Amino acid sequence: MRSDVIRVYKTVHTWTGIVAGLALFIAFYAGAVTMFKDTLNEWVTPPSAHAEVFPLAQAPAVIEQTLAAHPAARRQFTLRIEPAGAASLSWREPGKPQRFTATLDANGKLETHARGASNAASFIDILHMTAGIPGGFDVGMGVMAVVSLLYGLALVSGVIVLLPSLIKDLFALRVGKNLKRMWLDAHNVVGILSLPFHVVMALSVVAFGLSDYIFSVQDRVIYGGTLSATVKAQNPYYAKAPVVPGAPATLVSPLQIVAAVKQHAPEFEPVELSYRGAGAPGATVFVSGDDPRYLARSGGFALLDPVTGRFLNAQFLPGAADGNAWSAATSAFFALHFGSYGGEPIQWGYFFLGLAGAFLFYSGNLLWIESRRKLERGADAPRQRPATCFMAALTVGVTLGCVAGISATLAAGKLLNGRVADLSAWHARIYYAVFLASIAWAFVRGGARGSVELLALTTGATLLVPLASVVGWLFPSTGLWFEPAVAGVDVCALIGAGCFAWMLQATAKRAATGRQDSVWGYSARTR
Amino acid sequence: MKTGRRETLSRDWLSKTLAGVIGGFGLAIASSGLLACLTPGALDEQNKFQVAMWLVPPVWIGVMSGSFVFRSGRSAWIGLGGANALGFAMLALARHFFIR
Repeated sequence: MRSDVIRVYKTVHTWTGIVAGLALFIAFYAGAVTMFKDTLNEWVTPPSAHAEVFPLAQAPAVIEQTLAAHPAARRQFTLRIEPAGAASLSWREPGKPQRFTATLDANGKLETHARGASNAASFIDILHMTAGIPGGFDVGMGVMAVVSLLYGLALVSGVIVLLPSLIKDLFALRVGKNLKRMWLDAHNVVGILSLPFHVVMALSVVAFGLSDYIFSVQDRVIYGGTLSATVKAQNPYYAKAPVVPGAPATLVSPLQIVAAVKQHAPEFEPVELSYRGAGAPGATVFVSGDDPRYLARSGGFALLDPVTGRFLNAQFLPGAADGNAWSAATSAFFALHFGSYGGEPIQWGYFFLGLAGAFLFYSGNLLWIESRRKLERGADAPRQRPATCFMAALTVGVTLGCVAGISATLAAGKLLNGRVADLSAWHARIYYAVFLASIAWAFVRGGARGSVELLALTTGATLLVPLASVVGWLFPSTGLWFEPAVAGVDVCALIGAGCFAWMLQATAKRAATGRQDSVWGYSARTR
Repeated sequence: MKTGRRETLSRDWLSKTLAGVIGGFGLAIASSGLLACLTPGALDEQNKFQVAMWLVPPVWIGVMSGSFVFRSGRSAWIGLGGANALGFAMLALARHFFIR
């Protein structure tokens, strides 16, 4: 390859990487955590707020009585079929933060409860999608789509730059005196080995964030104005069931809905039935679940008419004969982004690939700083460039602030439960307070001191997660609790805190005793 | 690999980048249109529109990446402009002959 071409792509890689890297770090770290969204939801839900289950056979009676007594549930309610043979029913009342659940008492009378639980997992998910960019969800997604275009450019250019020395460099991790070489080797090997994952993420985020804009252009130049009608007619989530005038709007038993789905796709396990507009003409029921054998969109789902039990849309029901090749391809695009296939091994695989991605962006920034380092020549340590000092502070502030903020806001889901009125607002306050304060701290203290001190903060914040559970286990009177079924969250946080503590030790050692002609040395001359 | 040509790859960052972003988007839309028109099934075949949309990001990013190897910003605009003219001409033909 011509060396001038390589040089051009090296520049492309450097600048796309440095602009997109920190937003991508947040997206990847929060995304890795989001792989266990359900588990995190369990972790922040106090035992008293778990929806009470009733035998599945009682479901028709519970639904009927709920709809009669609570009109708000008609708009939308959810029947969750878990564990096997049991079910729980919940809905929202307009203007109220809690979810309401219903069961039958011993006399067959309806009992309802309000269940307030933390939405920390959803907060982290939104953070994953928007990188926490202010201005609302659509703005955040749009910005991340543009960031992903840069990310795509960074991937292509990075591979081109690495190609000539790929064989030589790929399996070489030169640990030694030349630290920049080691970081570059690590950056290269992580980047190349997880390249397919990164290609999937870059392309899918552009599609997620810009699809509305792309559709509107395509509508004009390809579909001649017919696209919105097509999109509406094929919407797999929302539809209106065909209305037969004068026909009763009585719902069939959910067991019949489940049976219809199972008959269509025997290996698919329905988990949730979400009813819309129950009791009114045009009602629908959205059945979601899982069949880990397929690259299924969100695990797989179907839309049915809850009055007749007929299918309205089964394009994304894995294993059903309805879906065509286009639907299967669409399924795959979504599934590859979300890792909603293959069950737990894929979930863990995506978790580690996500963390590896976060490392990739972090190491990229580190290499940018390292390439601009002024080396010692003679007696005096040289003054480092302002740009590298700025980038060093920004990098440690953003990355560690994000990690510490996520840990703190998750721990708060347990620590503040029942103690504050609006927990979801507190999740945002805590995350942004930690995140912004970390960035400010890194700029005040500089990269070297800032990284050591913020690693201490990150370790401490992450330790709060298992600590909250331990306190709940030993002293339930505090109102905290320990849920053995999701002890994995505590174990992972403990391991994470251990890793951060190790980084803290290594960083402190490097800052104190490493070469001082760098932004990472305590006595670095930065100003 | 002549060393004499080395000087001819000018940077023209702004010009090449813009050509790549705009020309790449155009080519991506044209190719998604060709996919929608030339593959079996009507335009409103279930979820064909989704695949056509999903084709845009890879083509767009691919062309954007390629725009930097044009010799100059001018040649990038000429090259990508020509490719777009060809792409949209083919799309117009495909729409005319295959879509009722």
